[in-house]
Amino acid sequence: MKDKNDVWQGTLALMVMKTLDMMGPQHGYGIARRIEQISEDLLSVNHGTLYPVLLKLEQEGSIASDWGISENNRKARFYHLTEEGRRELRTEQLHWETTTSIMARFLSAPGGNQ
Amino acid sequence: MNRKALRRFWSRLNGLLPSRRRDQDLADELESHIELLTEDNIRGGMSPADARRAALLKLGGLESVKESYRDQRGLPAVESLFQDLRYAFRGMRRRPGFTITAVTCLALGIGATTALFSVLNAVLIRRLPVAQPEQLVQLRFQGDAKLPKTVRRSTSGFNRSSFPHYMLQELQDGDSGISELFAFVPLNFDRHGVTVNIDGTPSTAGGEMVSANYFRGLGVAPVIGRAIAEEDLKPGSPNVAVLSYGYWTRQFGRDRSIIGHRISLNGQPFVIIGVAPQEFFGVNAALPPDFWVPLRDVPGLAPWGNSSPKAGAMFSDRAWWWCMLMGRLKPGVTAQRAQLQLDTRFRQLLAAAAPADFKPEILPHVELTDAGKGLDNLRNRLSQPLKLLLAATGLVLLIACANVATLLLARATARQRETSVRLALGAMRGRLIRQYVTESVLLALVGGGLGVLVAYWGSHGLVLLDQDTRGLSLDVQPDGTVLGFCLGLSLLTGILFGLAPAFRATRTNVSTRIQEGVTMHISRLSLGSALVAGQVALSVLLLFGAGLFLRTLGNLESQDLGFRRENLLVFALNPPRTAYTGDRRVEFYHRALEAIQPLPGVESATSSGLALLSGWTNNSDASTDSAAQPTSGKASNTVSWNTVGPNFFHTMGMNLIQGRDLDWTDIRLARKVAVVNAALARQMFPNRNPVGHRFSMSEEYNPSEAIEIIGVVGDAKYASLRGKAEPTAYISYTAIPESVSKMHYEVRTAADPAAVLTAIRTAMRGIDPAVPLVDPKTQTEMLREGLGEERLFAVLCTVFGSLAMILVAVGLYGTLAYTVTRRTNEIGIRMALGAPRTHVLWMVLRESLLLIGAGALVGLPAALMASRLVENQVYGVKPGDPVTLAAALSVLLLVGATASFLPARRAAQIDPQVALRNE
Repeated sequence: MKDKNDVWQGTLALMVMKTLDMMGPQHGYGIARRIEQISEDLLSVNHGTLYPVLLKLEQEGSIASDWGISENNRKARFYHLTEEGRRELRTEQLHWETTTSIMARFLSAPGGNQ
Repeated sequence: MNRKALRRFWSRLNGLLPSRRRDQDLADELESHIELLTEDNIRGGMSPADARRAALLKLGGLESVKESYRDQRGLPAVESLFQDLRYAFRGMRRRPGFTITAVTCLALGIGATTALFSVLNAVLIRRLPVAQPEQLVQLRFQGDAKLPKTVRRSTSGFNRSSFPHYMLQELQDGDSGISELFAFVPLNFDRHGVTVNIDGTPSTAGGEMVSANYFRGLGVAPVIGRAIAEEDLKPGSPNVAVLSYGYWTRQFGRDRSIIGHRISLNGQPFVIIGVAPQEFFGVNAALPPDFWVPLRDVPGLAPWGNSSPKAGAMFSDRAWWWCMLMGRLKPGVTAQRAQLQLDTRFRQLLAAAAPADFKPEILPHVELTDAGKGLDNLRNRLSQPLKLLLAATGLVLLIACANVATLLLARATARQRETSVRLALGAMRGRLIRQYVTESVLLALVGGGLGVLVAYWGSHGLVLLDQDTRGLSLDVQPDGTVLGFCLGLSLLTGILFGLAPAFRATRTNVSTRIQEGVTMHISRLSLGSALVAGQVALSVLLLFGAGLFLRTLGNLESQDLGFRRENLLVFALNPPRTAYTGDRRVEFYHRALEAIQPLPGVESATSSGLALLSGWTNNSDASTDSAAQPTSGKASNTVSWNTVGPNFFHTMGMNLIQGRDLDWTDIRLARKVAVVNAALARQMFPNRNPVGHRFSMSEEYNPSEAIEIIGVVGDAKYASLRGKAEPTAYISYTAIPESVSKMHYEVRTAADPAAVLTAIRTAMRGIDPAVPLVDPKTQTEMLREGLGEERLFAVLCTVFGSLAMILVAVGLYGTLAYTVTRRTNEIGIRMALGAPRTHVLWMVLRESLLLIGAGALVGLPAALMASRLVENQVYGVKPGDPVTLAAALSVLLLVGATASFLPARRAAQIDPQVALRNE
């Protein structure tokens, strides 16, 4: 029963994990900024949707969080990837790459109506 | 993946717990997000105010983020359930009157049903408290053909379940699907068959003889001591006994040092070797033994209380069928397969004993029946009454449901504005229905919880009402099955009575309901009226049933018995056969009677082989000497007979029509004489005086010469209160002394029989201190005990009927009071226009009478139809008795009119001015 939202959530989750993998511990704002930067602002993340995703990942044990001090000296929650999250990321990444490559091949195949 | 989902579910369950800290954490986190974003925005050149506004926009609404975050954190469905529950609780607290009424109705309905069900569960559903009861099977046989005398000459015990003793060994030896085949035989037909002497004090008890593997086969281990084992059956080994937990408690106060203690059973020494577990009552709930002894020939202690001198031959006689057999199926073996194997072996054994010229097809077949619940006598006897009573409680529960539905309906109507507002604000109808049903289910659960208490007391009371269940170790303690039943019932009723009002309440046109004030009430009560009429219909059923059973009980209690029941004391003496046989036994019976006669307070005394109204009779075929055989054309005449002592008819107050009473001379000289009743005289000696004629009985109890009739008495009840008197012969007991297993004494006293009992005990101790008085009670007590089932029905149906009446009264009152409130306006107008108060009074009463009438119209044919079901239970009254029906309807009408008078009076007292201003 996946609806649009779930797909988006899944994709966003993968982005969050990849971000944390590359950058190490980050707070929510940092993750949101990073995703916008990487996608070169093609993807405008509604920052609010990030937090339920973070919570879900944490509930699943892929990420964990600690309270720390942000660059502007404020209390902030820092998320990092767990060992399990790293494994999860590798699987998901592979899965995603396979899917996209299949989709790419499928879509670039010569169409009958050309 | 699965693990992931599980972990998420777990943390979401945790997330259900309310936590201020978690909320605070989220607020902090979001706040720091906003500040970081704001600072970035300022760096990008925005004004501080714009920067923060932009940050909030980017986040997409602080509250909606929190909302979706919370949804992710917990389980929304569960949370909304909690919300509904909280709301429902608040609603219940706000309306204590409504809540108490509804919960009480439900507690009574659910409680009564559960109480009945827990008795039904104990009798019909629960399995024996033994290891793997589902593997147990009882051996029975099918086939009625008369067998050659070398195969079966005598039978003792219950129909089709007695086998010759040698079968125990022979059937087990064959390679069968049975892992243990064990035998058990009661030493008595009632609970007083054996005289037990404990430290010099005699008393009576009931016991069973069991094979060495009985306890092993059932998988029952004693709580102290050991079970009966193979060595206890070896010749020369001492007699041993295992006590039941109940008997151990009653007689020995749970003294653990009892092991090794000596007692005597019918004069034989026995050593106590163990005590059975508390919950274990043997395999026959109708006759739970007080002790178990090894199955072997012990003088004076014969299976089935057999008192004949030939009883010792039961063990070796291959043509005497008396042993009950039970087996445990080997794991994986079906009953069908085991039955096939046993049947083959069984028929081989029988064929071997039969003469050469017999037809093998007449031999019976072995049949294995499920014995996981024990023997089925009690189940057979109680299953029909219990099911009927359960149906009756079901009716009470239905009435209670209808009642609460009516209340809820009225409440829903009162809440219609609230509902409309919620619907207008966008609440989903489904969500509202769920909320309503949550409320009703909560009510039902609270009612059900209290119902368990009602059931707990009720079921114990129920067991006490019936004499057959009172003596049993019938465990009616609510178990998992009962509690599950109660829970299921509560949920079901909650949904049942909640759904209709919920649908009704939410089916509303939003705009009109909010605008509208008070005035509309067109179709509103059709459902409520139907519910009230339905309650009336159901209570017609219950009241009619109560009427029938009350009349049955009254008829049975007050009917002419044919003898005087007042001031009559009955008890029995059963001297041990080891010390008293033949002439010595008869002499003992004489001396006992002679000792009672002169005691102060005794008017007269007599004796009989069987007590009257005890449920027992003797029946035999009889023929007369007269050349003119009965004209009725019957091939044989079955007569009931009893053996009686001197002055029997005088003492019992029976009406002597012709001839004379038996006297001491008849008894002392052992004359072959008898007095017959009028029914026998009519049947065997039509239009003739039977006095002076002789008759003979079938061979079993055939005295050496035919019995002479010396008198005729009026018909009297013999075994039971029901049915008309059978042709009966009262034979002098010395004519056939062997037929008496124990002698009953009937003592007519001048005043209270209980006062004479002590004197009789002392007198009997003077004759033999080792012989106890068996089961002394007055004839009235005996009569009352014999009416246990009738009383059970009468009492319960009256209770249920009254309960129904109260519920109907409440329902009627509620409905009418509600109508009056709603119609205040209309009534005000009517009165303002000149309607007299009596008219208004009548208007409301008419509505109530219409409801009752409609209900009665439906209930009447239903009651007449249902009464057919109890045709066998009623006595002296036709199932469709119009007088009883009229009485039931009058009670209903009376209660209904009383309940509706209050609201009607209130309507009549409405002040038109106030009513109209109210608008």
